Amino acid sequence: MKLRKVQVTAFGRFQNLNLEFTPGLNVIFGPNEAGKSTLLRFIQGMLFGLQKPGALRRQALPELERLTPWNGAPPRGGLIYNTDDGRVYRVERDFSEKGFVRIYDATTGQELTSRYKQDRRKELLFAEEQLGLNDGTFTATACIGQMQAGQLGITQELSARLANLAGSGQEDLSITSVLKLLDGEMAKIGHPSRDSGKPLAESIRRVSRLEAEHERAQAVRQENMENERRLADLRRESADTAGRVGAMAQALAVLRRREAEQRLGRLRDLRRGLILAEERSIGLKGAAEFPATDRDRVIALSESVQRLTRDERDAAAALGRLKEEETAAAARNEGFKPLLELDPDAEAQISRNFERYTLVKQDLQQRLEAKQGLEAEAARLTEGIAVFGVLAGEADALEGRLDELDEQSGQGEVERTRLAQSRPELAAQREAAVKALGARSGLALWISLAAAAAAAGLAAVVRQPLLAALAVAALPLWLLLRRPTAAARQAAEEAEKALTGLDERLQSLDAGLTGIARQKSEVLARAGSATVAEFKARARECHSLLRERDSARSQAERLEADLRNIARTLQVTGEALVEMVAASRQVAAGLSPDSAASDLPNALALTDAHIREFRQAWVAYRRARETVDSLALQVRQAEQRLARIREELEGARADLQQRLNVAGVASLDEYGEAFRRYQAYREAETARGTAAEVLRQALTEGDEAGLESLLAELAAVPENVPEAWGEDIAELARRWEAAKEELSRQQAEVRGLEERLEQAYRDLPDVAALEAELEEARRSRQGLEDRRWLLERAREEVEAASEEVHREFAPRLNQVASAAIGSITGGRYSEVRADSRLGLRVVVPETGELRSVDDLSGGTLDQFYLALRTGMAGLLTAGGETVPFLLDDTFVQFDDQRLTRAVGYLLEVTKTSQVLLFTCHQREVEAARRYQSGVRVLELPGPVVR
Amino acid sequence: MNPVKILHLADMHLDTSFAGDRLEAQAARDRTEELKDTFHRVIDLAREEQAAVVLIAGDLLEHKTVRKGTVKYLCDLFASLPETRVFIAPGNHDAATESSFYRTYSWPANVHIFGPVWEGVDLDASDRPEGCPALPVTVYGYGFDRFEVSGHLLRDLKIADPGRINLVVVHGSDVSAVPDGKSPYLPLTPEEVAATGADYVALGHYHGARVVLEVRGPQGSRVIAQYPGSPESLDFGQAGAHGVVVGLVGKEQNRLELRHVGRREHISLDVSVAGAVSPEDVVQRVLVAVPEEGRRQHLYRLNLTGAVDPSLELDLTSLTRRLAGEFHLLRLNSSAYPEHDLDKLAREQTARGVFVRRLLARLEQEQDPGEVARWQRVLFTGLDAFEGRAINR
Repeated sequence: MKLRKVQVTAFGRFQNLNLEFTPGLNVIFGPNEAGKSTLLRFIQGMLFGLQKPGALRRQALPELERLTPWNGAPPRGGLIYNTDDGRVYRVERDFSEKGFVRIYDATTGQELTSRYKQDRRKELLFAEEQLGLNDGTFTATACIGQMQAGQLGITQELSARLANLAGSGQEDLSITSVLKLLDGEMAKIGHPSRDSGKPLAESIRRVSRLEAEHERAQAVRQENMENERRLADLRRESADTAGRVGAMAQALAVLRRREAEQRLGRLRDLRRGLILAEERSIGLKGAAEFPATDRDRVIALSESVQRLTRDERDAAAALGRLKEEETAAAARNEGFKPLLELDPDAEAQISRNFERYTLVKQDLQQRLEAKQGLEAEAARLTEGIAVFGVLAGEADALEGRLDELDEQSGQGEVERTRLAQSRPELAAQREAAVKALGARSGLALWISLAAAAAAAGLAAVVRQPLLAALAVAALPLWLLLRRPTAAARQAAEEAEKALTGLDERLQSLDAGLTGIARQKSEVLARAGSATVAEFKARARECHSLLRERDSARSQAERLEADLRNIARTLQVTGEALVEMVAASRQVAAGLSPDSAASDLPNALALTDAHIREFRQAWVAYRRARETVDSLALQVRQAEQRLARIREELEGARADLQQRLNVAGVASLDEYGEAFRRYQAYREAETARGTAAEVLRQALTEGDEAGLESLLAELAAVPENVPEAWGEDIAELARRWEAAKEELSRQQAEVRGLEERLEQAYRDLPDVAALEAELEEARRSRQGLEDRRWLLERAREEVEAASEEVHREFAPRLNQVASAAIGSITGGRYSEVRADSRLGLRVVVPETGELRSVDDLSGGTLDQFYLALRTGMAGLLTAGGETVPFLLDDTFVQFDDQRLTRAVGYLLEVTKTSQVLLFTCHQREVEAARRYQSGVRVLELPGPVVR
Repeated sequence: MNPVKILHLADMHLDTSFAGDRLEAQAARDRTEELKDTFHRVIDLAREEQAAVVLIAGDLLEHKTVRKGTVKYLCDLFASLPETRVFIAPGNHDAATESSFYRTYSWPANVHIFGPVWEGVDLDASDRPEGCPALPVTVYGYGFDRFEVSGHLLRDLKIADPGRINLVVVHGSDVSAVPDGKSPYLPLTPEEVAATGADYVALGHYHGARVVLEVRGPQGSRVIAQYPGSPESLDFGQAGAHGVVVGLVGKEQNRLELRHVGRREHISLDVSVAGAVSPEDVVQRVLVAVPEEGRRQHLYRLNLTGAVDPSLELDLTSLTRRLAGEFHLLRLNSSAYPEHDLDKLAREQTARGVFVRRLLARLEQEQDPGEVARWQRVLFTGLDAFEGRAINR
């Protein structure tokens, strides 16, 4: 699009202003207050109207007021432009509230207004359609304000601004801010679980709390209703119980009346019985004085009298009998007179002597037996010794010979053993010598001869055969030993000789030993023994018997002497006895001392017979005396007993009589009669007491008057008890009491429950109010949850949109920026890349590395900014139509050099797009004029003073 | 046979929490008292009309929240009509459970509460309460003993003597037309009603008045069964008239009319606030839309509609607070939307343009109106953010 002509009829300070533009660079110069901005706004307004971008409603803008000329004429004007396809349009617009907008084909004059859509504000969308940009985007891209003086960081800001433009559609609002705003809103509400204290979490908590409260209240309410139900049940139960209690009371009254009637009858009977008992008791009153306490004593006394009378008779009879016996016994004792004359000590002396006699006699008998035993033993031993015969005399000599033989035999045996042991060695030596020598019989013969000669010589010398044999054996050995280094032959001969000698010696020893053995056998045969051991045992036995026989003989001799002494003692004892016992005189005769050894047993037997005779007489005497003594004692005792009985009998009779007197009777029979009367009286008294007690007991349960008045009270009660209640008054009364107790318990429970319920109702929270509050809290929570949901979804959608835009925008930005940098740097750089945050980096062609755009030189940067800024419009337009750029004092802060370069770049821009540079500085005009072609300078009139 | 004078009511819901009205605690208490006052007027009406029979077709109480004091209040009122027989058929909101006041409280002798089997009560029985006239009328009823009763139980009803005036009272659902949000407990149809042969069937459950069965009789049309609606309007969802039915029921003709006894009505209105730029604009629009006498008397639920300036935040809480003094009760909803040129925004080659395009595409696909509304709010919330502002949409 290229603007061709502006025709301001009236707009702000301008009246009838006409300006014509070239399709290239147009510098519109005017001092401050000349109305550059107004003109800019006019151009924008002609294309898009004066509404705020995005606003939907045609609003009474303060701006309109400002732009209305002072004379009140409606702000209006026209604009002629052509699109890139060459078609020329004319727009006429009245900006006032009831104004209009019309569009014509400038070539044909045809009005095209109806061809274009209107938005909901009735704004005609011709410019938007032709440019592919809405008013907001047009302002954001085509209108370029002042550029910053500083260079550092410019591209960052530039990138950010570009990003904002692409994101929010507004240069100064980034997507980040949009998201931050939504996040901030979400943060205000808070997370349902993470942000305690924030409204959402608080609201959730409140709902939970109220729900819990509501639940509790409902539970209490439910409990109350349950209690109401229980109360109703209890009241019914209580009413039932009350009915039962009444019915029981009625039944009880019937039973009570019946009982009262029965009791009244009984009371009357009892009173009658009492009167009868009293009458009887009075009739027997006289017997009351009887001393009944004495009765047992009287009975006992009368029995005692009877028994004692009997005892007296028996005792007198017994006494008579005893006296007779006494007399008879005394008569019998006459035969014992001599004994009775004895010294009173005689008995003791006899007894002592008898004991002594008995002891001596036992001793004598034992010694006699011992003596006989010893004599028998001596005889036996003499016989035993005879068995040993010759041995008895020669044993010692024989034993000596045997020992000698044994010693010889032992020595021979030792020698023989030693020789036998040395024989194998000699045999080996001989074998060795024979081998060494060969078999030379001459030598062997020599040896044998030498040996024989030696043996013969020696035998003559030595008498002892054993020693001779030893000498024969020792000779060759000695020879052998004497000549150890002799020639082998000699050695062999000697060895042979020695061996032969040895063998001979052995034979000789054996012969000696056999002789010794024969001699021993002969000795043993003489002693009658088979072996030496047996011989020795028999010899020892023989010696022992001899000793024992000698000992027995000497003991027998000693006993002989003892017996004589004892016989003498016996004689003395017997004499003493005989002296005292005349009847035993002959005892002494049998005890003659001389006969002790030969006739002692007969003497003793005679003495014993005397003693037995005396003893029998003595025993008889003693018995007789004892009988007499015993009878005398019995007589005395019987006499005493009789006296005692008589005394007792007398006492009892006196006591009994005195008691009968007290009882006022003469006899026991009378006493019995009086007692029976007394008993009858006592019985009558008891019966009266019992009757009185029974009556008293009966009266404790009420007297006749009480019963009569009770009966009067119960007169109205029906006759019969209902069957259900039975006849048992106590049981019914118990049941009635139990029922009353139950009733009172039920009533108490009813009252308790009523009170509890009353309290519970007082304490019960207002469930309806709680429900309403809960409902409100839930709604509030729902509201916050909805709001959070909205914000979350909005955030997701904004983010998604942002990503989408970035995906599309970044490559296009790269393209535009790359093209710009190429043209600006004359091909030095050819590629620019936007990073994820739309920061721009140039690619160094030599190395391929990425450099920040900020590293470019200042002039290059200015051009780069302009290139991007103008390129952005191309990015944001929908159809590819070029946009006229409106620069408002853009370079006001540039130095001359930068300005020149910038203007130079603007001329590059004008190759495709129209540029309107509004400025208040002559510099720009001059700079532009340096580039002759395609530049038009327009001057605005100075400010009009109103 | 002389016709009998009846008064038929249902769905009093005494001691309901009014949770749906979002009342403040005091307002809820006031409303609870108002409901009791309304019931008092119903009893007064019965007295004035000398009704022989009062038929209460369920939901007299709100089981979950009813207070014992309210039950006592009810019983005192019933006891003040000693010559009138009162028949209560408990419904799903006041089922006569074992622990309910119907079972635990001591009700006056002239009140009969039906249980979970059909029962007929002859008004001329010898054991009728003292002072009540002997009438050749039998009242049949069925009462809920739990909170959900299903099955076409009306089919089980057998009328013993068609020669008498037979009245039926039950809490049931005419399944030929179930209002929104109503659970069809104890379903019944006009045909089933007709089949009973009853002279009048007093129904309850639906809160708007509605005739269920009307027949042509020898003396013109005769209403056989109907819902009187709740005597007092209970929430915004209850369309139709409210009241109690009063009149004569005879063997050939029923002369019944719906009497208005309620004090307040629930009124729902849309109020356009299109073009509003400021909260003051909105307040003005509302005050103009609702007449003063109405808003002081009734309960209003207003829905704000139209396109408003995008910068206007419709803070309903704050608006409600500003308007509270002008209304007896006001509930504000909003379906107003910010006036964005979405077509133009969608054309932008920017992230905002992409955002708008994405959401418009989603809205295009969305079928559920609730979801459409939600996603519209997402769109507007995002656009607010692009404008650098945050508004509670």
